[in-house]
Amino acid sequence: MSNYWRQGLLANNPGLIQLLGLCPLLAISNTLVNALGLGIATLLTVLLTNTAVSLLRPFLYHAIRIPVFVIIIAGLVTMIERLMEAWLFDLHQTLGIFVPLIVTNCLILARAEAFASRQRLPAAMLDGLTMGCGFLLALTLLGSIRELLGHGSLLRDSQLLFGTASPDLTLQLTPEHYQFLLFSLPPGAFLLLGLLVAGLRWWLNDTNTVTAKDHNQEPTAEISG
Amino acid sequence: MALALIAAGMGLLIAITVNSTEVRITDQRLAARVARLTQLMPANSYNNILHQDTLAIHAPGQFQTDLAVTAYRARMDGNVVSVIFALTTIDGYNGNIDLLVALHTDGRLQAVRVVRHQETPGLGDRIELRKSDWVRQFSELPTSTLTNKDWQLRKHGGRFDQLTGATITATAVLGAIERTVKYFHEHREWLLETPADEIELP
Repeated sequence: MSNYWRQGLLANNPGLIQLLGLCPLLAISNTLVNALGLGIATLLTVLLTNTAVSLLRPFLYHAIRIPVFVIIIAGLVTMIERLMEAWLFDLHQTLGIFVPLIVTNCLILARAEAFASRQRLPAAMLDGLTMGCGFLLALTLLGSIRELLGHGSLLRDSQLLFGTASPDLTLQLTPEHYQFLLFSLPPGAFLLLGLLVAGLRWWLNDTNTVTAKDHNQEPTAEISG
Repeated sequence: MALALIAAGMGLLIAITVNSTEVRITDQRLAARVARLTQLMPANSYNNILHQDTLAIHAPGQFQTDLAVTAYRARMDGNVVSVIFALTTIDGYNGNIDLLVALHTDGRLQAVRVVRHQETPGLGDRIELRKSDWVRQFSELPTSTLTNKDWQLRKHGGRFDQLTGATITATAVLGAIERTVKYFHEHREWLLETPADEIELP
């Protein structure tokens, strides 16, 4: 069981090792709150998609499987987007187009095709949960570092996520108007993502956890974008 | 067959979600709009419901858009005290800038707020009140004596403070305000006296 968690969070992390879904990973990691919001929405999508695909396995003829995946993913994302706009209105406004664009995150289609369509329900759900958490981890890690370096704070605008009634959870670690633009903008995201990818690979190699087997058992790790 | 059934099933689920969130989303959108409008003027300066007293303005020449620009009117005991324009300028450095411009009935600018933009962080985003006081120079500003030349940034010989490194952004906002003020002066009576549109805005 714990192998799923190791795969999802570290050895096969969708964001940092498989490099799937880079577009939202780079665009929405400018603050921790944005990263958490999109990460949780993506986690829900991949978990529910894996669940639905695994449940529908008896009807999944080879020829129609891709359209079925697309219908399921698009439908789920539409529902999640509506729910976010109803209950997390301000966060929904901030994330903008990146909520509907979860549909195009290859991570979700990759897990549906490579894993959930061939596995029983518990395994598929666990895979969705761990892979989703892996993506959430990559997003929040990048989001925390970028917010710290770019704004000197953590959890700024926390009310977007926790509601206007919640206390302001912002941790301001530098003077109020500190700003290091590079890290708030996409180039900083690329630099830091590169460092994170290199760091994780170095650490995994160092602890001998990335083996040839890890790479070969997931043929879809080749999908990118 | 399986494909059609699955599509129908997802369609049903989406219909249920859309249906059950409809009212709440409409309320949230309205609340967000009202919250933005109420920032522009002291709460005790008017006593009508702003978003129910609107005019749709069709003036493509003046407002850069074929779509209607919305004007909201604030009234105290039935008399108009301010008119608020919700408009968009296409001259931003990076896409459109949405702003609200409030004017007193005598043509003085009351306040200006930028509602939505994608200008460069650290440079152009100082048009937001959250980032800098730049936009406050328009608060309570008399406009009847301003000439065309005055409606420029200082470095172009005008009367308004620039934003270092964001000349295009500042010029875009300034231009939108200028067009609104001129439109107000030309159509003042119509703006103040036309009965409100019946339609409830989306």
